[in-house]
Amino acid sequence: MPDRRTFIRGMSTAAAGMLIAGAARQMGAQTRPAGGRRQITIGGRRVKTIDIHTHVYVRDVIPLLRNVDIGGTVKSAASGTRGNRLTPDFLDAESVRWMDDHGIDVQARSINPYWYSLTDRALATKLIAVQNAALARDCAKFPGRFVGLATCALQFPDLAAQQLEEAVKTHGMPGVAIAANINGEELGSERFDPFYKACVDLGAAIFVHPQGEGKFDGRAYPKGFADRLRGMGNLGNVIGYPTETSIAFGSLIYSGTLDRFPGLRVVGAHGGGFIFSYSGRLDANCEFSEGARKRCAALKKKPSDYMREQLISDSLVFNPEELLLRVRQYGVSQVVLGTDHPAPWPTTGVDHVLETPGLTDDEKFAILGGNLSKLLRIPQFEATT
Amino acid sequence: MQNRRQFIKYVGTAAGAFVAGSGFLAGCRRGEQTGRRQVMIGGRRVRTIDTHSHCFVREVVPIVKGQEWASILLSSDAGTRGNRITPDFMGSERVAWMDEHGVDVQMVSINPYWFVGERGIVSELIPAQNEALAANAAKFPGRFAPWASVALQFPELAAQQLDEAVKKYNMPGAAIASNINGTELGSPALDPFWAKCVELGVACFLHPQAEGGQFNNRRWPEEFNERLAPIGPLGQPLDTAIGLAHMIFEGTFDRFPGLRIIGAHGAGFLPSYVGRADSSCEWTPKGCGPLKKKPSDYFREQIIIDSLVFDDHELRLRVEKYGVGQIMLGTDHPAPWPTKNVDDVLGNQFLNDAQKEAILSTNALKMLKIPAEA
Repeated sequence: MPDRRTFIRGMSTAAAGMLIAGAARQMGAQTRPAGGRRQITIGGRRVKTIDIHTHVYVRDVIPLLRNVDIGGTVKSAASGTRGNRLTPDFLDAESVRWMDDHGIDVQARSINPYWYSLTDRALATKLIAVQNAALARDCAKFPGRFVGLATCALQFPDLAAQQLEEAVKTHGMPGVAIAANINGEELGSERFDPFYKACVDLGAAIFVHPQGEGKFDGRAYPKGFADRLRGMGNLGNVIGYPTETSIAFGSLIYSGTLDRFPGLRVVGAHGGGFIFSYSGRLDANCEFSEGARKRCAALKKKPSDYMREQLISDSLVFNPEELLLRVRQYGVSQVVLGTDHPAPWPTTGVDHVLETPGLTDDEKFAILGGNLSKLLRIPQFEATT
Repeated sequence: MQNRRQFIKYVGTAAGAFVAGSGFLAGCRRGEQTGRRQVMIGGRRVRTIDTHSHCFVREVVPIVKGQEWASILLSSDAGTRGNRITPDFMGSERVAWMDEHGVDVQMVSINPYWFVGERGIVSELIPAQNEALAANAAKFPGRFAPWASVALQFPELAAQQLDEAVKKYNMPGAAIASNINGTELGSPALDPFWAKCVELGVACFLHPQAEGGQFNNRRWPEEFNERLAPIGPLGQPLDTAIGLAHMIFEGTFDRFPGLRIIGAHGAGFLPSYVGRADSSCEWTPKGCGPLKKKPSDYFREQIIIDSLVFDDHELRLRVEKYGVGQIMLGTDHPAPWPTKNVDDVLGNQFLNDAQKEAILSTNALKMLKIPAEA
């Protein structure tokens, strides 16, 4: 795999007009007008690349957070002390230049939920209204380049449903970003059904992103898990995140949420976590014991089948084998581009997909843009089937 | 998934004619009443070695009677444990099952239930248990290769116990858990034990304990099972991932390049989700320490992966990414998985004959001390 630093250096704007693709690399044909956007074409077709997994904040919420002990990350981002980001956490021309350099046409930007522990309903109402309006306004400054994923106060499910409706109808948002648990409550809880119903009614896709080992501003869930992930290896991120996402997807499967809402579509960050590359054990377990048989008998499908339709994985798995596993096992419709921008992963985003051996041109097209065109209703440059 | 006709062509028996069984496990081939199913690949007889199968020995019951932490053994002994394909002990019923399913050798292990035990009792328990393992295996020459038990909560003692088990009983290594009563496997406290493994040239078989790192209802961390219990069997591969991650990142494998660990259930989550670990070390090198290799590289040599992943694609990923030399048969017998054991490997649509033979037999024969066929 290409080294990130080498790659970023090679893609710098100074080198505008030059292609750094090595002859040996299976890069798609690219054209890059001087000073312009890197254009990705696959098999002669220009693909509009759409990235489901990118992060953002809006400054407009800062005054509302002044007297509450939440939002530590947005506050540090706003004060410029967060550090370690490829571009600032706020939408601006620098973000767009980065996208141009890296061949990303559209980013779906999401705000990682930091407000689930708020018990003040009035404040949660105000915060989300301000936040969604600001996100929509910032996206609109760069037409065609960004869509905002709605934020919702899911600790109040009925309120969250209203917030989503407003975000979709007023701001044209195509989906919603949520965490892998809601302040310690699993996603499969029936309490959230009104929210899921709104998602289906409004045709809004859900993007699930874990929060540092299940933490919301210091509240770890469950107690003690972070203790096991201490030591070397960044394990809170490397193991904690995919564990969170696995539990979230497991909860949506086994609690029957996905059966109750067949129209629900949920995209999991970081390749959907461990569960997407270890589902054989879930299926086999359905025949293991009486308890497991009952648990599975209550479902309409076998556990892995949910990953063939309603549960979707982003492409951020960092190596070709794990990407290919998802395509082979669940079908190419279940994998979509995700980069985690502006998190400084040594990943090449679009090129990771272009360079994965064993993927056909049609599969690359689907992963890089085709699938999300359908899910987020963002038309491709040319109508495709 | 596997095509029935595809794998049947690999199957033969000494006796020739046989009738397809219609028992609990679809796809099993039944040998003649007295004969053993002989697994053939490309016309050659392959001696199948199962690295992952469980047992207990009754001989230690008097030693641990009344100990709450021995409740799994005690319920097996009393016949109340339930939900097992054959009893938890080495005996003729188990050998008949092995015969029927084409398993020539089981490397049986006793899941450590004694990691909470005090030094006095485990000093008595472990030698008795290893002696009984050896004695029970000897009743069926060439059919069992027991992994030694060791009291790893006392690493120096565990090293002595392993030394005795290897020298006296020619055991292939030790069975360990993915944490030692709350001590993570990367702890330097365990180094004397790893040093002994390397000195003796033996491997360890790493098996997680129940869901979430549980030892006889002692859950770790507390509350974690509550999150995992409703969503299927993810606790074991998670515990394995945590155990192996600590060994990688705390430098255990670097300190002991000769150490070989076999991870149960396809070695848990990490082999098919290791890209994040590799990338994280590029992103935040100081969080990874001075590792000699990329995290994924440890699965190409020091960590060996059993085949029990229940899905052709997941096994294929492991073979393609780490090399077929890193994969060995694991069945989890007598746990009641709906698995076809050797047929899951024989029937894997993506493997060739040489790969199948390596996984079922030759990798283990080359790397581990397996007693000769009787």
